[in-house]
Amino acid sequence: MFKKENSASSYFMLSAAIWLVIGVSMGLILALQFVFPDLFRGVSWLVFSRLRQAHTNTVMFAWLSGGMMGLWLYIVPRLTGRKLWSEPLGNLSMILWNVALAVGIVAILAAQTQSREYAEFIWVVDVAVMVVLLMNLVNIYMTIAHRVESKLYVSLWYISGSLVWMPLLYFIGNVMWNPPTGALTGVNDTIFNWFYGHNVLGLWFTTGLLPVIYYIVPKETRTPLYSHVLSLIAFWGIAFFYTGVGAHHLLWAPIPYWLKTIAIADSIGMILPVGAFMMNIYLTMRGNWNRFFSSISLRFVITGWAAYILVSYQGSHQALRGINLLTHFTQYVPGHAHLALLFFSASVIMGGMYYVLPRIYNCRLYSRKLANVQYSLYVIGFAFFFIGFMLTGLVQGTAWLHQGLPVWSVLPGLRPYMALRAMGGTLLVISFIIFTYNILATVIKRQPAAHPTLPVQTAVATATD
Amino acid sequence: MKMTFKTIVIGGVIVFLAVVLAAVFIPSLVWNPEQTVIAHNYTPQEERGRELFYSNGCNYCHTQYVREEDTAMGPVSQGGSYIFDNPMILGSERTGPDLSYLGRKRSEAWEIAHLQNPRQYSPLSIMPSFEFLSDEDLEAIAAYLFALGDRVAQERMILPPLAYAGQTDPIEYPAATPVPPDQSQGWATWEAADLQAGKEIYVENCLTCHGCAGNGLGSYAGTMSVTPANFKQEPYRSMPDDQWFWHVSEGVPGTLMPTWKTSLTEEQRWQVIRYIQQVFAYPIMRDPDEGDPSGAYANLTNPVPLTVETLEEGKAIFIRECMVCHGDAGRGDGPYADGLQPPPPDFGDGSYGTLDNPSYTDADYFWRISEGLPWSAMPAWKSQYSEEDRWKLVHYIRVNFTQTEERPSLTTDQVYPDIYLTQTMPESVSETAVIEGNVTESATMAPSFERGKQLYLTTCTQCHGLSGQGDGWNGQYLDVPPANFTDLNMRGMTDGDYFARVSLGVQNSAMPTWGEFLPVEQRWDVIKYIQEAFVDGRPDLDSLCDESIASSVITLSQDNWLGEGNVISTTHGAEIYQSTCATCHGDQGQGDGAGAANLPSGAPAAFPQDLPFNYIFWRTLDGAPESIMPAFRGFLSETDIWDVSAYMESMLNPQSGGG
Repeated sequence: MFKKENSASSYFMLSAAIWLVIGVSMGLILALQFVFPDLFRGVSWLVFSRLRQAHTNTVMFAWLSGGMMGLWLYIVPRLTGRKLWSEPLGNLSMILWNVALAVGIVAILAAQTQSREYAEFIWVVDVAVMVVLLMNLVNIYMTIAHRVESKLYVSLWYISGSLVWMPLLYFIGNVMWNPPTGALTGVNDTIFNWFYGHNVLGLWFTTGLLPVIYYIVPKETRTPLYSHVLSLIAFWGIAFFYTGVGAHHLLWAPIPYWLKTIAIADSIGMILPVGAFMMNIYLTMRGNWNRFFSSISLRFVITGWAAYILVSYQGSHQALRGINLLTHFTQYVPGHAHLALLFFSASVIMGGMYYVLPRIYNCRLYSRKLANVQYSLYVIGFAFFFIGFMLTGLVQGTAWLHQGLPVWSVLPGLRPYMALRAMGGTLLVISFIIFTYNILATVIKRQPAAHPTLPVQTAVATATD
Repeated sequence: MKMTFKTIVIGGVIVFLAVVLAAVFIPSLVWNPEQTVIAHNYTPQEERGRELFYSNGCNYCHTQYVREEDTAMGPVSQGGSYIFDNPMILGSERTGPDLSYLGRKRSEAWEIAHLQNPRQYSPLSIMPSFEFLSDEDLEAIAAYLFALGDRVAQERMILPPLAYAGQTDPIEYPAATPVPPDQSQGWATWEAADLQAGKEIYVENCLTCHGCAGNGLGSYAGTMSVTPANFKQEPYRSMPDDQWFWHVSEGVPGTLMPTWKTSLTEEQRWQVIRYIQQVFAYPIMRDPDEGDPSGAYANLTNPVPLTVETLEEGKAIFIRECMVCHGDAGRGDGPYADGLQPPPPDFGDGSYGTLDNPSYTDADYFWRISEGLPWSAMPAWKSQYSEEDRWKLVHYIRVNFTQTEERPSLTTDQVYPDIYLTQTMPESVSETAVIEGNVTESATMAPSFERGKQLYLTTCTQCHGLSGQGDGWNGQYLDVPPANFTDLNMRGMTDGDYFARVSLGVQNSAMPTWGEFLPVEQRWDVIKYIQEAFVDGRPDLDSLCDESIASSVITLSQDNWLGEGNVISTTHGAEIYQSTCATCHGDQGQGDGAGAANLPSGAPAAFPQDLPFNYIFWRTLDGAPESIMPAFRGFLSETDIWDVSAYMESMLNPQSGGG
């Protein structure tokens, strides 16, 4: 079972799909607690402040990272022209990953946390995460090292980069050399925290999911990638600019002023690689937009691509001092984070799973109709959800900054927007449940049907008859 | 560019590490802010509280850093304030208030209760309840919060916008405070600083809300959801000029404080600010020598005929405006007199002369009422009351308090309106009303013996005495003696008779028209108490000795008070005992005081010899329910209660040495 080709990839993705439902349900409870604070009164592990940490870690690591690593384990063999170097090692990392995260998340709900944003896991879990990251590094690097296809496609650049950046990032950002608290003493700890906090997105999810877009878009459109040069600009641009943006979370904190300026410059510099990536995919899609409607996986992946462009530009402008002044500390910022993780990352991973899983099991998707419904709910739900976040944030920001109102006095006026967010969130949760159901049903039922054959192949097949 | 595997991995790592070096490691190495006064090491309990704080994720809604653009949160956070913190919990969202300077703002007990039930204190709060934490955990968190920041309230004040920042009073402070300070400072210096103009503006514009005594308890104050400023408290006592000028000019957001710049000139605003500062916010002990009435006020005599009717009209004004400071018997001991400098005068101290030889003329009284006094909070009433009204007030004060005018003789007995006389004590059951098909309980407030007792203590005892015999310490100097409720003649009075007298006062005496002041329910409370305590008696008095001591005082001893750096004086306690307790309990605690002799409910029992200190203290503090023993909490100061309890203990147990 654990030696079967593509099993690690599949199990990573399926476990992630289950985590997805858990993670977004936590999110929905949080959204409801903003409106009904006494919803789970007296239940210690459902108290907002603990659940929020559990929610971010569940969706970021258990769902997104798990699904992402599953996709890599499928894509890398395809691009290297050989099987995964070690399927058992892949499965071992999958098991350890899920166990470690289950322990970490339960620990957070039991108030065992380091309470540094996105670096909340206790040291033991940190170590297990590091082990999994290194196991994956070995497995995929060995696959690449023993590849058949000599040329390295752009997806492999990103995957190789992410694999080496994330362990470094995780080790430094989690201050793993100080096990008791996983933190430094004094204000410099925040520099480490946010270097890590932002680069989990920048050098893990971004660099881990752009290769999925780079892989699926040409595959589904049957069009070669538009430009090698644009790929180069995007790759090295991200590596250079993204690494230094962390301090833009701390523009008003007592850290060196020049560091803030570097972070802002890097954030604005991100426009360069994002623009290059945007044009590269856009020009690849040129003439292929009909496939956006006919291919479910491409639809999700391209939606993720659009969300990536949006969130990147939003992020760059949000890092400007004048705009940050208004949005900092408000719900606008988690809104931005959800645009990145819930609309960019999740969309690409869902598209990837819709693409990969039927191919692994050689079956067709359980229900295209459900997938279509799910897509609509996802987009509509997210629109309400995101607008709720943004309005909450802007009302907070203007009330504090322009009217000088105290924090508590603004809260009652935010309730409608918070309710809007909870409503959009409900649609999203329904959409994700449908997704997980569809994926699991696909794998369990394995309806053998219309093989996703190409017209060319049919022609060839007919010719050989 | 050829992207080989080596190029990607080695190149990627080099770029990454180079940026990390520049953006993470170098800043951490060069940035070592020095410790500030805010940073403090944590005690083990605070450290534990901090751990609980962050492990429960409080920092996900409560930030701990104040940014430059934040208003009313305190000083902008400095890096050196965090040198003991690990991990850092600056926070990234501000769903709840910033906690940087929370310390000392609330008590630890409040923090615990708030953590358990946030909406009990802030109904609109969306903070979750942390009632699932153990008491020990909650105490630790409270200890941590109590030590956070620890700064005075003024540092949290909203800074004035640029247009107002740094503005100062156009008149130099020395000009308003002439030196040497021991010389008497009369009208000349007062007017030189425009303070009289300021007072007049204050009386016309500010008095209804902020009150004549500047304590924020003007007559409209109770109608507002946000209390007007009490200038005798922080932050007003040390507020800089620009803050004053900004708030007076632009009003205060979220309150009813108006934007005065539309109706007052800049000069007038400074005048009124100067008045508030000098008289309420930071008064200095002065010797105001106001001199004699001059100009238009010289040699005036009272043109209003002295009749019972004009006296009554004067009384109504006195009750409405003057009593809060001057006291109901004119002894200068009204509840708002606290902290006023100079204090209101004692009309009964004998310095006002006699009927035949008064020290002050009509003009003296009238002038002071009209213009106020320099360097004092006495308002200038000329803009609020007509000359005739002020003259009536002069009559009232001279006849009743300083007793330098002949009391007019009553030609006919006072006739109270029937509507008052026919009132009866409200039923003590709630009525059920049917409104549009819905049965609604309209709870009529049943008069309460206990509420009446406390109200009697604070409003009536000064004249009528604790035992209701008209022998209160203020009432003794009045020439119309206060009523003695134990007098047998009182027994014939109906509810309506009481209600009329309490509401409308008693003609030609100093008995106030409480109808101007107390709501109907409170009047009935106090009437019920008077009837049951002094007139008719109360059938269901409990025996007190069976009751066990309240748990909150069971372990109490004098050490609790002494441990906080206070002293206990049995000599002072003896004075309090003689003036307050002896009237019923007797000189030696035998229950044979003069006041107890006529009490319908009987004299208090003699104190047993072994009465424990904590019992005495508790009863004095909280009173004895269902008896006439009132709760002296808030009436006597806490020092007085400790002293008198200690005195009683030493009186009952002489061999114990008095504790």
